[in-house]
Amino acid sequence: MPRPVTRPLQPVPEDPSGGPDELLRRVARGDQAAFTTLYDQVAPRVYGLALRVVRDPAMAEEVTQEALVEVWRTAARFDTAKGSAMSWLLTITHRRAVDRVRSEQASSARMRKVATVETPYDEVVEQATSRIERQQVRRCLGGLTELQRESILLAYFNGHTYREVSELLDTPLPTIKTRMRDGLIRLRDCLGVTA
Amino acid sequence: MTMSDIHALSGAYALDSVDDIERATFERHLRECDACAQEVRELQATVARLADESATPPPPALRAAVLAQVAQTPQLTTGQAARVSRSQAAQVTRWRRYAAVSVAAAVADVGVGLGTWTISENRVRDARSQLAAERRDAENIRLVLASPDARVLTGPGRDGGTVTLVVSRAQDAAVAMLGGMPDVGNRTYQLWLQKGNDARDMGPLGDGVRSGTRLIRGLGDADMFGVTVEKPGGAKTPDPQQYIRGLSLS
Repeated sequence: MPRPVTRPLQPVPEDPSGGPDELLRRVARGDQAAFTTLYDQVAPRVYGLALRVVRDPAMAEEVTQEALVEVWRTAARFDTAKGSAMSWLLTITHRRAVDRVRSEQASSARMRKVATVETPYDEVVEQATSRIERQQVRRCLGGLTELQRESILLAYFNGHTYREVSELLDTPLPTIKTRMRDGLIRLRDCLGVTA
Repeated sequence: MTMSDIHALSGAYALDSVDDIERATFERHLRECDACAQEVRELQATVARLADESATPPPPALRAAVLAQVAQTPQLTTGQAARVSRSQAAQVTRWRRYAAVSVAAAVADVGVGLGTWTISENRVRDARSQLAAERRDAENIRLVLASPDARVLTGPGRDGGTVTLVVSRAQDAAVAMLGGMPDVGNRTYQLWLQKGNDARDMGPLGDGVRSGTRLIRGLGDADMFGVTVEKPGGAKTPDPQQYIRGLSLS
């Protein structure tokens, strides 16, 4: 299927020190000044994502700190041929946020029950949808089936495993797995994402 | 799990929606399937776009805390980056939530070869007791780093390395971090607070120790923080010839 032509994935930064990709290459060589500039460029998105997933400001700070220190430590592993710096560091951030949510959940079954009662999934999906204001992302999410959209948003913003999503949406496991994949593929094509 | 099952997992994997065992299985598969790896990269870039509108300015103090921790965290070299898998790295990072740099180095060494096992074991044990000691101060360190008035002062050592100080007048405390300092044999780096010609001993880092984090309580009216190199065990007064970095507190 031909992909629609859209604007570039990341806005081109005005900063003469370069965007996250160039900064991360310098960080990989131990450049702390580049890391500071990188922090200023990416911290709001890293913190914002962490906060969305863990929903506790203090915990979101810890996740942000862990993720960004890991970015510093493992910068040599980043490979521009394999995607953008922003995508790489949001992947690290999301993984850590999800780890945190799951270990909190595992620490107390009672807490999980409370959390489930306090945040019914349809509310989560609604919040996620309403907060995603960037026209293109919103438009593309609108192009998914309801099941695709709900599966993706519940997993990404709530840190649910696809098994949990399957239970929450009362839909068989293989269906959820497939909807996550074909939903993301449709979203990718709509957004014109390349990696 | 059949092959087609495993392919279908790419969406759930990109969403971090798999459990640890599935993740490990899938990552093994990715190493052998270039097309799958490419698809996963694209789907990961796609889910990253979902975070677009969540951007929220973090609390200002977080910046100082992250930069301070980075200033004393060693980086993986390209070679190590290729060797150490992501999940191992995650475990290592989780384990040393509180700034125990040497712990990570020790853990990264474990399993390199049987010959290094004993040495690594000792290093892990040393690192653990260091971690325990650092945990006692961890809460206070966190308070300093999180303090709204925290300032980061940093400068290179005379012969290399980096000296960083995060100062909070509100907490009347500071966190000193030395990273990558040159080898001084069995002598020790020593920390001082100064007011004019008076120097208060803030303790030696330890004979031969080249990096570390120290909580400094009671700044009082000190206007200068200094690091010297002193004889083994430390000195009562700083050797004026051996200043390797001073940071002005005013």
